[in-house]
Amino acid sequence: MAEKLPQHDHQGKSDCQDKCKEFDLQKFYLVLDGEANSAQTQQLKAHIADCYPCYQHYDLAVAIRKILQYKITKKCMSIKDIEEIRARISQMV
Amino acid sequence: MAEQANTTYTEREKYYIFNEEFMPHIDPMYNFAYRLTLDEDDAKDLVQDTYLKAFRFINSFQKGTNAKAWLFRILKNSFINDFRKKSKQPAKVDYSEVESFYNSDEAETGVTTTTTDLRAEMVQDLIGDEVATALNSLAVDFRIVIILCDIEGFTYEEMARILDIPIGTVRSRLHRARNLLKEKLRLYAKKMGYIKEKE
Ligand SMILES: [Zn+2]
Repeated sequence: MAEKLPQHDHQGKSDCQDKCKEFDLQKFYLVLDGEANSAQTQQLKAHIADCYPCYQHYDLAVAIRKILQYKITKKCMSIKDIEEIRARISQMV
Repeated sequence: MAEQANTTYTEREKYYIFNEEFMPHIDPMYNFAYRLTLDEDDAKDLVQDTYLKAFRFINSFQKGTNAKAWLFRILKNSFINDFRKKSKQPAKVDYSEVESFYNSDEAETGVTTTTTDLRAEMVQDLIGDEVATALNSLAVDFRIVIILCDIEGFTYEEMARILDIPIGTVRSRLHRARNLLKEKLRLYAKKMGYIKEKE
C-alpha cells in the first residue's frame, strides 16, 4: 500500500478540501489571471488570509507562474535572422 | 485570415506599421515559436514565415489594435496548418475528448487533488531546465495556453481570439493544462526528495 497517498483515497475528497467549501481552483485562476472582478478578488484575498489550505493552493499557483516567467530561458532571434526578414520584406513590392 | 474590413495602406504606411508595430514583438514571437517547435531552426522559419504573411496581409490589420495578439494568431495558425503538417509530428490531442473530460464531474473532483502535496517552496527550488522540460512535455495545445497566459500575459479574451475558441474553452483548457503541469512538477519534486511517500 506504500504507493497510495492516504489523503487521496477518496477521489477528490481530501481532508483539507472537505473542510473548505470555498475551494475552487477556477476561481483562484480568475483572480490570479486578473480576470476576476474586484469583489471576487477581495473575497478570495480575505478568505486565504484565514484558510491555510486555500492559501497554499493559491500560493502554489502564484509560484508556478513565477517560475514559468523567470526561470525558463528566453530565446532570442539572431540579428542576422532578423535582418533576413527585413531584407525579404523590402523585396516584396 | 482576415475577418474584419480591410484598410488600404500606402506602401509607406505598410513599412511604418511593420517596423513600429510588428518588429518590436519579434522576441516573444521567436520564443513562442521555439516553445511550439522545440527547435531553433524550425522556430526561425516559423517566425520568418509569420512576418512575411503579416506583411502580405497587412491590410487586414487595424491600426491601433493589438498587434502582438494579431501576430501570435498568425503564427499559431501557420504552425497548425503548415508546419505541423510538414513535420511528421503526430496530432496529439483530441480536443473533444479533452474538453468533455474536463467538463465531467470526474474531472471536477479528481484532478485538482493529486497535487495537494506539492508546495510553493518546492516549486521555487526547481531549476529552469526542469521547468522547461515539464512545460515542453505537455501536448502542444496545453503548452500553448500556458505560454500565452502565464508567460506572455494575454487576457482570456485575447487568447480566445488567438486560438479561435470560446472564452469558456480557454478557461477550461487552461485549467486542465495547469493541472497537468502541476503533476509534472510534482514528479520532479518527488524525484528530488521534496515529497516523501507517506506510510
Ligand atoms: Zn479555504
